[in-house]
Amino acid sequence: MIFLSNNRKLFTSLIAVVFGALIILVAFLLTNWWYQPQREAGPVKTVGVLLAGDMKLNKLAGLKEGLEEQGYLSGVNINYVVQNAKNNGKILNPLASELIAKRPDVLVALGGVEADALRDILTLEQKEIPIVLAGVASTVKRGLVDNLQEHESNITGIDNYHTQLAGKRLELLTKLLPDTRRVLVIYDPEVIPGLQSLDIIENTAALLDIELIKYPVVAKDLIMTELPQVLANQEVEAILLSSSYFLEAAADELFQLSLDFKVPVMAVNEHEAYRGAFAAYGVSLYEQGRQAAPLIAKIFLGQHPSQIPLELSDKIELVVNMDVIKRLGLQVSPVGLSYARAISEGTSLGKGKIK
Amino acid sequence: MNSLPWWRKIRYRVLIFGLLMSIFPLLALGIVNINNTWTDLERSIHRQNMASVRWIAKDIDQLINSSITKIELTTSAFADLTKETKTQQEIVLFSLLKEVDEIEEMALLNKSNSAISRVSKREVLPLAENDSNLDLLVQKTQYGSVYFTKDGRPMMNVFIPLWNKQENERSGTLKVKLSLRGIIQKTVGAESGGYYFVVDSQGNLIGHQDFSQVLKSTQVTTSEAVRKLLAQVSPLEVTAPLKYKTYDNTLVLGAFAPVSNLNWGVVIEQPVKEAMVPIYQLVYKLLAVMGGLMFTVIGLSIYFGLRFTKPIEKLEAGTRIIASGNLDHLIAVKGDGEVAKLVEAFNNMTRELKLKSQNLLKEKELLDKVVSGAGVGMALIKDDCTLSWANAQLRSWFGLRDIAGQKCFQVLGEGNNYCQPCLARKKQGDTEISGDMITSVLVKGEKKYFRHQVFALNPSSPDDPRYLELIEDITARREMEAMVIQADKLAAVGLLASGVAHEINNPLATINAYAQDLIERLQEQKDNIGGAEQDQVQVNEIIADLNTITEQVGRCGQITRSLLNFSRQSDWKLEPVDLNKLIQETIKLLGYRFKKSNIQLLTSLEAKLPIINGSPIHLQQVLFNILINSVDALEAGGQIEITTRKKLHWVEVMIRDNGSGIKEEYLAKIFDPFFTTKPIGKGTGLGLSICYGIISNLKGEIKVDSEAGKGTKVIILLPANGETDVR
Repeated sequence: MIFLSNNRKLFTSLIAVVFGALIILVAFLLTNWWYQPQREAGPVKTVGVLLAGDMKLNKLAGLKEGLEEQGYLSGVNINYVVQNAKNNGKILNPLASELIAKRPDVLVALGGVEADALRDILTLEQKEIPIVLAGVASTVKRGLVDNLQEHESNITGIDNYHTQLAGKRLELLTKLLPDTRRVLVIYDPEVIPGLQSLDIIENTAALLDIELIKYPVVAKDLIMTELPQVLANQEVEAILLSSSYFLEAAADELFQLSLDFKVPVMAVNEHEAYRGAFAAYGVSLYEQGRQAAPLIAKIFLGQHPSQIPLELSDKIELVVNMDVIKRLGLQVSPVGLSYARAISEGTSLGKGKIK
Repeated sequence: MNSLPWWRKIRYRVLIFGLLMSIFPLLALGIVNINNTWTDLERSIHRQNMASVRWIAKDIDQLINSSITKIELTTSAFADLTKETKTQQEIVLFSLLKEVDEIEEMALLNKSNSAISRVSKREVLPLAENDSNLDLLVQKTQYGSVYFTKDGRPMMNVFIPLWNKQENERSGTLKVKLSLRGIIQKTVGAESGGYYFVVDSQGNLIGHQDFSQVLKSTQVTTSEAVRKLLAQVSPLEVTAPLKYKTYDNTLVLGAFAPVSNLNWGVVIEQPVKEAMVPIYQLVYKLLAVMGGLMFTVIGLSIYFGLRFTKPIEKLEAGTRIIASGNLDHLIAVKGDGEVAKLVEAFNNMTRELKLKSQNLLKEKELLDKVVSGAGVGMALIKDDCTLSWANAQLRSWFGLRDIAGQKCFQVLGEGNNYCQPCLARKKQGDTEISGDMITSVLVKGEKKYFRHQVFALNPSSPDDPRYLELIEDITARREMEAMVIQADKLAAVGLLASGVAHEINNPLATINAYAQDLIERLQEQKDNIGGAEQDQVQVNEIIADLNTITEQVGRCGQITRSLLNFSRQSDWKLEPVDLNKLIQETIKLLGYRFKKSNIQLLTSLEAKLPIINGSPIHLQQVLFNILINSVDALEAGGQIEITTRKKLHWVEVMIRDNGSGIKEEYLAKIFDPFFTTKPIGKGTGLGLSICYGIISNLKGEIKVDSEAGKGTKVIILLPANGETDVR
């Protein structure tokens, strides 16, 4: 019996030792399994986006695409709070205030008027949230920053250079339509880019020996009421648009007049060419948004906007709508065409882009 | 016994041992592994960065070459582009501007370096331009220096020679303004993380993955890799990982490579913090494993530690209980392992210890009885006269509780100095019994006499006792001896007195008889003669003288009777005496004296005091004498206390006063006849002698205790009725 009792104790002890060893093994494997190196996700960032109307949605698409390339996936580690004024300029400031109240990590202005609204509300409410400009014209002239490279403000982003390209647009218009000598310049006299563009256009016109008909537009309604008379009376050979928020908003009406009066329109954005302009020279809205994304990522990583110089848009492109050329019956010079990307109504805008 | 601190307990030691043995090997392996991995990783990153940087440099070179080649190929399609129509030239230039993203501007220059056609992405340029930089017509493609536009973008002019193929001569130059941003951004980034940048031959930053650095014109020449590039150090010379603090003070691992045709350099820098992420992950992993392992080992160590150490702790606890004196405690441990056997042996040892302790206790009790029963005080004394032990008898005599550190002469001797002579010191080294020493010590207010004997011991160590002192209380013997001496003395005095009294009584009786006879005869003659007056006067004078003689003879007779009383030679008529009643009668007799001296009398007479056999007259005389002495010793307002009580077969009368008391030197003489401290003529000195005689005659005892200035106490013991007869 004693022998049996001793054997049982020995057996129990052996079981305990084996059990202990198993626990160690399991603990080792569990901790090994548990600790898998993972990419540090970090806290979820919030981007507050303010846009004046749907025509800026391409910028938003480019912005999201660019941030995705930087590793920020919507709904995963980044959230977008979008306020869209739907072309109603009066509600931009209240929308900006609402956006700021949500305390996003970064505010994104998809245009100049949006930037003005965000800056004004932040100053009024004495709050400090970085603002990233996703393609704004005349950033220095309109007082957003003092200097592109060195500035002390909490604003950075992309200057789309569209104002400075106003003269280039006139030149390219003549490269496409070399016989053009009388051009109607439509501009918004109440915004800096409008006036700055006019100066540049006037200088270029003088250089190129072009006669300019200046047509300041202060309200969208005037385009439908006054512009037809101007076009009817002034023998305009082409229309040159300058950077303007509400000109972009009234694009459809303008292009309809263009067709009606057989007057080609040289526009600013690729998007406008798709909608009915004869040609456009500038940086696509999509690219502007995309180019702003790395700057937002830098702010997420802790840099202050004053440490990030403003950048100029890179991908300037001449787009020509072949359908419009056909409808207007225009004879386009091969010189101009050699530089242009031809599009037609069936042409896709590309990944993520919205017509 | 105090409980052990936790770190000394076997349970925790087993636990700590388990932890250390499980963690240390893992930790050591981990550290070695991490160290090796660190070194390997650094080398691996360096190799990877070197490969990447070479690739990027090559890529930049190829991208520029590719752009230039594209331009060259396009222009080579024409026999002489300068001779083509302006439209055609513009078409070519605009086509290239459109196709090659990096071209910012192009100008077609004729032989005299004048622009004949120009295109630009951003500017509306005048046609006429003479490029002053071109002194000669370039014979082959040349790269200009890098420069920056107003908005900070880096640009480089490339001059491509144009040929008239028919005449095989230089016809002009194509000046191409390249935007470097596009070129550098098109290159493949560093695969291993980090960032790369491009510097020109002056160390200017002309390209960076973070283009903001270029726009800010960040100075990167503090980077060690840039410095090596500028010093034209070959990357092949750098074999060890290049670790340094770069332009933004970050510790980086760097690598560099020159861009062969452009005299530029490419630098890859990877922050050590990012590069070593795998190492940190390894450390975290190791710590996690160690943590998991530690918890497991703690659990197992606790389980096995308790299992292994519980019997030992039980044994330790049991040992403490037994050590505290509980020999009945037996330790219970299950199992049959070594510890169980040890516990069993320990229990057996405890039983044995208990048995022997009991025997020892019995022997000790016996010894204690012997030592205590001897009625002798015993003390063990160290060499420095410090008491190390005293038996119960000695402690009882001297009221000793704690003898630690006490000197024998302070406790047992007569003062604070060594006894003279000190028996121990005198007999040092002598093992024989020393001589005696008698000391008188006041113990609890009572004077005691002790006889000391000292025996030298042979201590085994210097700390052990060196002497045994035996102390005997000889107070009773001393008193007995004194009483015997006193009795003998008084007996001798009594014998002398009675002899004298007898011898004097007869002549006195004769003198008295003759004097009486003469008085009677003279009285008769005086009556008979009735003679002259003068004769009558003479007879009366003679009778008066004779009366004086008889008076003085009577007085002498009184003295002789007193002497006979002292010597117990008087005749006694014994009868039952109620001492309480006798005392009260005597108090009445002396009432006047007490009042006169304003003495407070306190009596405490036992109600059922036995009747004694005695002579009331003599006993009253005794009481009278003692009380008179007290009154004389008291000043006004003094106090006398009289107490009677039965004490075994005796009746005790105690008379105590708080008077002047008797000096010690007189105490031995107070019963001597004619000894008095009173003024001459006020006392005969026979009062107490008579008392002594009367009490002794009644087989009683009389004792006087007195202290000068405090009072006197007289105790009379008389045999209760039926237990005495007249001697």
